[in-house]
Amino acid sequence: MTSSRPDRAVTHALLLLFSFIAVLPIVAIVLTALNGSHTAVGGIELPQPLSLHALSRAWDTANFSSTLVSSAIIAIGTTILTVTISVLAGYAFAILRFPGRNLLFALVLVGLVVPREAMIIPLYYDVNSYASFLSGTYAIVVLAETGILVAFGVFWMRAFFAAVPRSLIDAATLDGANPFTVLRRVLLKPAWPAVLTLIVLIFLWSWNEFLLPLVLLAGSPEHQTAPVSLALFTGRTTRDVPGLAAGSLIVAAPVLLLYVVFQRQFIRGVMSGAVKG
Amino acid sequence: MNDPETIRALQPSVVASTQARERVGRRRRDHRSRADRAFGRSLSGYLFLLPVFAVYVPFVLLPLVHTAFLSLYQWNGLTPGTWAGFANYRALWSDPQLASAFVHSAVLVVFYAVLPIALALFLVSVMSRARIRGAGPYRTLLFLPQIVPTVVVAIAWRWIFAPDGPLNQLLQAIGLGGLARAWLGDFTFALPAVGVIGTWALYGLCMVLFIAGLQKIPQSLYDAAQMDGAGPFAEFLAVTLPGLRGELVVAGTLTIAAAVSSFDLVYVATNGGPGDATTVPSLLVYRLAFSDGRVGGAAAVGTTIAALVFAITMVIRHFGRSPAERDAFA
Repeated sequence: MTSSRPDRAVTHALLLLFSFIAVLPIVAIVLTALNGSHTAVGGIELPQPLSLHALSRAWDTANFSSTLVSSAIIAIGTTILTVTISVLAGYAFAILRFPGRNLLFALVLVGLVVPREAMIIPLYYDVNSYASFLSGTYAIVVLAETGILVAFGVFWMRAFFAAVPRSLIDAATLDGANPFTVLRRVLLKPAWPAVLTLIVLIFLWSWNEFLLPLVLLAGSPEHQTAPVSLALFTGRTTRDVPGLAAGSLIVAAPVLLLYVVFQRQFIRGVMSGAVKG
Repeated sequence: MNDPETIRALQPSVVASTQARERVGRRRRDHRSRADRAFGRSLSGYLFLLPVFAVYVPFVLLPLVHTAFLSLYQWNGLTPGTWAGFANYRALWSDPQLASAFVHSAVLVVFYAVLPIALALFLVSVMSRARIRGAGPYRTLLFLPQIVPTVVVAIAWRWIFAPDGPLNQLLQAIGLGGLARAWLGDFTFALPAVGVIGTWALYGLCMVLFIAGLQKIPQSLYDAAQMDGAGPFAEFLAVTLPGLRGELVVAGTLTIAAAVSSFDLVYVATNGGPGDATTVPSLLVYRLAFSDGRVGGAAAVGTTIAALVFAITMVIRHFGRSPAERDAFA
C-alpha cells in the first residue's frame, strides 16, 4: 500500500495537534512563571514584561535552596545504590547458575507491582519504633526508594545480560577469570548503554517520588524534597499563580533538562514495560 | 575427660565442621574438583544477589507482609492494637466513605486507562494507512507528561480548571459561559476533571507505544487484508489490533496501575474534595494511617490496593498472551 498525500497530511496534522495538547499545560506554566505581572494570568500569552521576579519570589518563599539540595542528595544516592546492586543481581540472574535462581527472580519481580500504599504504613511506624536512628534521615528515603525501584533495575539489567553472546563469557571463564572479574573486565563496557538508561530512569523516578518522602520526612521538613515542599506550599497559597508556576518550573527544570539530553533513554526505558509508581 | 572420643560425643557440630574442613583441605590438594567449582559458582551467585535482597526484603517485602498483618487489627498507632479479624475488610463494603473511594477509583480507570488507550488506538489506526515517517519530534513532545513531576502537572491543571482560569475563559469566549464553573470544586464535575488530567497525562504514552508497535507490523499483512477487500475497520480488527497485542499489555498495565494508586495527583489537585467527591483509596491510606489514627483500616485499604493491582496485572498478562501461548500454559 502506498500512502497517498492526503493520508500523510492527515497523519501529521493529528500528530501535531495531539503533541500540541500534550505540551500546552507545561508551556503555559513556563510562560506564567516568567510573567512580570503579579496578578493571576487568565490565558496563555507571552510574558509582558518578561521577568524573573516570580522565580526569585518562589525561590525564597518555598525554601528551594534547601529542598533542591535534599532532592539532589536523595535522587543521586538512590541512583547510585539502585544501579550498582541491580547490575550485580541482573548479572547473577542472567549468567550464573545456582539453585533457586528462578524463584528468587520471581520474588524480585513482585516488586514491580507493589504499590507504595501497601508498604508505607509499617515503613513509617516500624522505623520509628525499631530503627529510630533512621527516622527522618535521607538514608531511610534512599533505602525505601531503592527497595521499590530495584525490581525494575534487576529486570532491566538481567534482560541486557541475557542477550550477551555466551561465547564472550565462556572465553573469559576459561581464562580462569572469576564471575566478578568477568563482569568488570568483559561485560561492563558493552553494558554501558543499558546502564546509562537505567541511571537516567532511576534518577527521574526518584526525583519525582512523592508518597515516600512525604511520609518518611514528615517530621523533618529540613530534609524534605522539592516536589513535596512545593505541594505543601501549594496547600497554603492558591492565589499566587505566577509564584506557583515559578515553583513548578524550578522543581521540573532538572528533569526537563535531563530529558532534553537523554530523551531516547527515557522513552526506551519506560516503554519496556516499566511500572511507574 | 578430654579424650577425642568424649569431645566427639558431646559436640557433634564441632566434629562435623572439622570433618568439613578436612574435606575442603583435601579438595584444595586435588586442585579443586568440578563439584567444588560448581559450589563456588553458586555461592558467588548468592553473593551477587545479597545487596539487592538486603534492601528489598526489609524495605519492601516485610512491610508488605506487615501491612497485611496490621489490616487484621484495630490500632491507633500508639497504644497496643486489638485483634479485629476481617472487620477492617468488611468496612470496605459497609463504610460508605471507604466504599465510595473504590467506586471513584473505578471511574478513574475509565479516564486513565480506557480513554487514553481507545483514543491512541483510534488515532494510530487512522495513521496506519499512511506509514509514519519522522515521528521522532512528535514522540518527544507526546512523552513529555511522563517526565514532569506530578505535582507540577496538578498545579498546571488546577490553574486551567480555576474559576477565572483558561478553560472558563475559553468557554466564555465561545459563548458557553453558562457552563463555566469551579471545575475541581464542583461535586459533580471534580472527579471527571481529575480523570481528564489522567487522560491527558497518559494518552501520549499510549500513542508512543502504539506507533512503535505499528512499525513492527509487516506491510505485507496490510496488503493481504486489502487484497481480501477488507475495509478500514476489518483491517483494524484483523491486522492492527492483534499486531499491537504486546503494546496493549504494557499500556494496560501501566495505566490501570496509575489509576488504582494515583496518590500524588489527587493529593495536590483536590486533596479528595469537595467533601469526599474525589477521595480515592490511596488518599484514604494516607489519611487513615497518619492523621485519623485508624492504622488497621488504612492497612486493609493498602492491602486491597496491592491485591487489585496484582490481580489486574495477572489478568492482563494472561489475556495478552497469544492464543498459542495461552494453550501451552493451560
